[in-house]
Amino acid sequence: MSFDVDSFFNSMIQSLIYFPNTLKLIFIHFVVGLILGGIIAFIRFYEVPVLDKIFAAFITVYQGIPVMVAVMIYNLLFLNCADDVFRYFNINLTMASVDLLWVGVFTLSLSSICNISEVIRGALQSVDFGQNEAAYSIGLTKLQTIRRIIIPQIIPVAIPTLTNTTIGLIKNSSVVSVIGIMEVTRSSLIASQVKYTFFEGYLAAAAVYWIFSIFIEFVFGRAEKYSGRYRRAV
Amino acid sequence: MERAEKGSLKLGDTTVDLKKASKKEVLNIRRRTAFVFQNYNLFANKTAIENVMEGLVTARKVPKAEAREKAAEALEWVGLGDKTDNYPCQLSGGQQQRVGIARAVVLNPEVILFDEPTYALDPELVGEVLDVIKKIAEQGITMIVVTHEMSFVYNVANKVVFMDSGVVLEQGTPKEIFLSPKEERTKQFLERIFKQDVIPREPEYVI
Repeated sequence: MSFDVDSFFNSMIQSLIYFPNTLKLIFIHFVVGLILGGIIAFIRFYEVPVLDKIFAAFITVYQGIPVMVAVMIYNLLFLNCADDVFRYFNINLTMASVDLLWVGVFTLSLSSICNISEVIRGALQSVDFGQNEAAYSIGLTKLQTIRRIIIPQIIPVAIPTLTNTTIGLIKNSSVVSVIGIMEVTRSSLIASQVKYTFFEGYLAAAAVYWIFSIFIEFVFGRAEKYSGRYRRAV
Repeated sequence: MERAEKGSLKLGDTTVDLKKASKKEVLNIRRRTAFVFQNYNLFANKTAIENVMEGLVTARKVPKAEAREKAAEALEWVGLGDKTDNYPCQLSGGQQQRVGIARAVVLNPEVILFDEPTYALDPELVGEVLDVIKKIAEQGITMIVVTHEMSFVYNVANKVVFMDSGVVLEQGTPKEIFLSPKEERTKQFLERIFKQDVIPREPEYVI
């Protein structure tokens, strides 16, 4: 088997051109997942009536669907129904004019909400509940307690699992290329089509993901050390 | 923290019906009382002095510099002036409990509630915590202490309440309860205490 170095670098350059799209896919759904997933985790941990049951059921059901299948379903759903919905709400928009990227972002966001909320819920359970009571006893409200006592303590606990989840989410972003979103995987294969050098194409995509994952791991590692200052003193 | 099924609470000149107390009323009560826990419950992400400052800064809106000063004073008072910047995990059980007491005292509450403050400590550390509680008593702050330290109760308390299975069986001054108990259950309980010679037994009649 021959290895065409030129094609490899062509693919790599191509994929880097579309890297911002992948970045958008990753960043948006990570932030959405962190905020909504966090809220869901707190709702479930503090057992807010009704809502906690609804979210528990949603997460159980939704986690059973592979991202690949989900993105196909949403793609078809949006193509068929979105125009009617837009018309109904008088939004001046047609599905044809909407970037498919947003369908990808939507799919990935939902799956990251599920994943991240489970991570945060696990971290919440690691904080000794007595500290809640202690905070109430000195006159803090529930929100003040969460913001000043609980959140600073769940961050260092959540980060190792969150790193893992985030890298999983980065890899998931390649799956949504099946509906035609131009991102790293798909664009690196475009360069491959000239000389049928698909092996080099996939390898180039792998290298890009790998470098980005290393970078993420480094950043999260630093964040973990910084937020866990109070534990190192043992 | 736990909602009572019924009853009312009289604190100073206000009375609150516990069954239908609003969130605001509950918060108001909490801000006039303080609590010392069995297992300390210090905030793990904050240093000793930050633990003590937290209630002042966040709940009472005291300016930070002033709160820091008061907190340092309180820590000095419980004998931890040199541990202000240590995290709870760097402190021994007795030291952690003393930080817990400083955290309660610094708020200048009307009542301090102690839930078995020496329960999780070894006998050597119990002494240092009890000394601090005694010091508070000398300041004249009302305290309600749940404890198994009988000799401590005998020497420090103004009023003793003997409870069994959630029911008040007997109450009175330490002398009344310890030396002339009326209830059978109290006598039975004290029998064991006396066997350990914790409290010097006085003969009923001296000729």
